[in-house]
Amino acid sequence: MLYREKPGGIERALTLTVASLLLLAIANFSVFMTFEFAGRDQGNRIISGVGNLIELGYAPLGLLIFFASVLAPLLHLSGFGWVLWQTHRGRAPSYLGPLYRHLEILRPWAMLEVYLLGIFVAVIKLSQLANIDLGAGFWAYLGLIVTSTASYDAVDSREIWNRLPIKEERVPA
Amino acid sequence: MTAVIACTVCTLRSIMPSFEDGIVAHCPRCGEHLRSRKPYPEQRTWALLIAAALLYVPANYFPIMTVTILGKAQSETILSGVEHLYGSGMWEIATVVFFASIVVPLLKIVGLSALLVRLHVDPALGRRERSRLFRVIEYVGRWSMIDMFMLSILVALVRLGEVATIDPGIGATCFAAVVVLTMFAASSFDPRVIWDEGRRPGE
Repeated sequence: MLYREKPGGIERALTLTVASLLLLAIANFSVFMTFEFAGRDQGNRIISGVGNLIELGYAPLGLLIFFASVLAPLLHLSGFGWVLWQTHRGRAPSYLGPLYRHLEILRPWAMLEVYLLGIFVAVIKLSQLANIDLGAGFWAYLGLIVTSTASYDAVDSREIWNRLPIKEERVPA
Repeated sequence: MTAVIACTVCTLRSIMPSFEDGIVAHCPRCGEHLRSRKPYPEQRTWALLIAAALLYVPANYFPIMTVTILGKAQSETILSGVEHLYGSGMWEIATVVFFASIVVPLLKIVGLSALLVRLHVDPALGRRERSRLFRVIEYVGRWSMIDMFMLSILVALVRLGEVATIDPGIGATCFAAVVVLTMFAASSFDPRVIWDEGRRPGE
């Protein structure tokens, strides 16, 4: 068997996408982890790394990391959620096909799963250096990977394409 | 002669009056530009690959970060970072980082070069394997960003002034550029040319 459509996939993917967007907000706005060294401690949000990189003269690197870990996942999840919502309601406005095409092109640049491994490596390196306390931001990231992976897994992109309209066009002779 | 072209994004098949590239056509479902082959796939991929290969040298030679603890500074390169992970007994994660940061960039540069060379040397041999190799290269490329993400998290968290600070190094910018350039190199290659018999359609 090559392929079979999973029933209710679009609805499940939609629910998981909404959950992912909420977790993405928590992951970025709450304290990620507290780092304690020689009696001094510091709690920080994960997004401040981007600001620090720019301040230290590493703007291109900082912006790339911001794009891959925050902006692209945010755009991809919200766009994907919108396409799912429209197809769930049985609507297919003409912009939906081009929108979904841009999302498919954006997808490899939304690197949440890669980011999670980066988080693991950073946690391991820091735990050898000092005491660390994992904050809400860390757990939100972990949950986010589960919900976003499950949401992309719940529906095959073919199911979405099959529901999008094909513009009738006369072939130029 | 009419031609059938599958959209590279949404896979919808469209009937075209011919394979010639002069005709501007867009996929009636997703709006993607319909072309029998991407423009100049070999030249573009070579250009991006050569740029990536050149930057690969400083990316591995210069430190990606400097850790300063109580006035003592220690620089870390991509390779020494992996060594430290192995040295501290975390061999599972060290192996992941070894693959992502060292094997994957090399596989992309060497593998894509081999694909390009093989278009002219024995092009008929092993087409299936080469198509598969391309799909692997395309898929694994983004995983090399692990070290860059780790760096941005360390730079965010460890800023305790004199006590402990982690600063980025120029190697990181070079390494990130290698990842981005090889991702673009893979997407400018057109795997359909692997299957072309001699001349391309429309040529």
